[in-house]
Amino acid sequence: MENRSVSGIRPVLLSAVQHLLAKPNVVATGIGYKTTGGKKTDELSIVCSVETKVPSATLGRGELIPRFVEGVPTDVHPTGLIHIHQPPTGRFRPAPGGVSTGHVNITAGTLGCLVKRENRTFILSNNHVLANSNNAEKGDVILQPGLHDGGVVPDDYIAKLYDFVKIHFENENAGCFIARGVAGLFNFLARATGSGMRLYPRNMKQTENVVDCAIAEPFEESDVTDEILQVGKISGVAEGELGMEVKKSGRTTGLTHGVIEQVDATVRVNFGSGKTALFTDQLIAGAMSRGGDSGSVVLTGGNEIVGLLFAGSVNTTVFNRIQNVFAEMKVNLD
Amino acid sequence: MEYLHKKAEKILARYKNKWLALENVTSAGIGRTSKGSPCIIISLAQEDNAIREMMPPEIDGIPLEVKVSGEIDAF
Repeated sequence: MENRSVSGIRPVLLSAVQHLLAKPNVVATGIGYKTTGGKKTDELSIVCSVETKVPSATLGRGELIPRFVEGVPTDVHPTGLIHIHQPPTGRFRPAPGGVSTGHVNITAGTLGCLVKRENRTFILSNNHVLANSNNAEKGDVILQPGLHDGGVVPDDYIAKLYDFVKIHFENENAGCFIARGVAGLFNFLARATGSGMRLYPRNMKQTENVVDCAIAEPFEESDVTDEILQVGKISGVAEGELGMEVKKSGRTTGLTHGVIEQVDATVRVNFGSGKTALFTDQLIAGAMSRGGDSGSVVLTGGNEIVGLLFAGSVNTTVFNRIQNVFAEMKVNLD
Repeated sequence: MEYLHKKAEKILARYKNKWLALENVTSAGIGRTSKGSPCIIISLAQEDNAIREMMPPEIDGIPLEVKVSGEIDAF
């Protein structure tokens, strides 16, 4: 058989591509040198990349990749599921950590990772991603991708909200008469002395949080995977420490790296609509995230999990200690 | 170093509610100075000279650093 050039094969591939991609298992097609017996030959072929190679006996007649397409030989390459080049805002089944997700009433956040409670598998993310900042009920539907990324009801349902740790907002107690009185007096004196400082009326004790987390149960366990996009599998749990190099894979900024710059941090976080909440025992890194990355898990270079990302500013990223998340949520890795 | 870190924890525990009650303060935590020793970092939503002047350069030998983080939002 005559050896055809790339430009000669291109129209053949173009006319066959739809047909080939429709076959089960085929994830990509292209033109490349055929491999025979593990060795690359100098013969050009149409390369069909498949998730896994399957014995031809188990496939139906229409499912087999033909040995030739219009005289051009084919070659089957097992490449695994390709999703590195798909942005994390896309639809993933099975869905790994690091991709877009959210309660039906929010825009979008990030799917953190899979966790276990009483031998059942759950998706871990933030309360403000899966439970709409307390404004949700058990059984509410979770989308992948989130609404903002084109997730639609009901095609993109992936899980049901199962449980969350309530966030205590400071402003819930802003009506406290004494706190308002004290702050009012302080601010009056501050103005009188020309000081720019202002006190907020708030009840500190009842408003401290350590976590922003929630879990959702997948409709089908096969719709989720314990991998994290661009990272791989979690290898264990580690304690976040000052100076530790960390990374996260998130819906908005993808895979990014940073260093833990503060521990034991107490942080005031805006949740929109004038609502703020105070979080203690937090870890702080520099700029490594933006809106939509909430829910990402924070890992060491060796893929040990140290935190759950939930907030930040232009130069700051804030995450809960994963030990607090696991304890409050009563979950574990396995 | 461990001793200084414990000392910083104690100072933070004693003062953090007072600091966080100030309108412009977004966070207070334990970090490291450029020389690597434990310090307390107080972050501000925006530059605030009144707060900078109010903060001592150190408490019981632990340095206090004030920086601007900007508003911290749920992501």
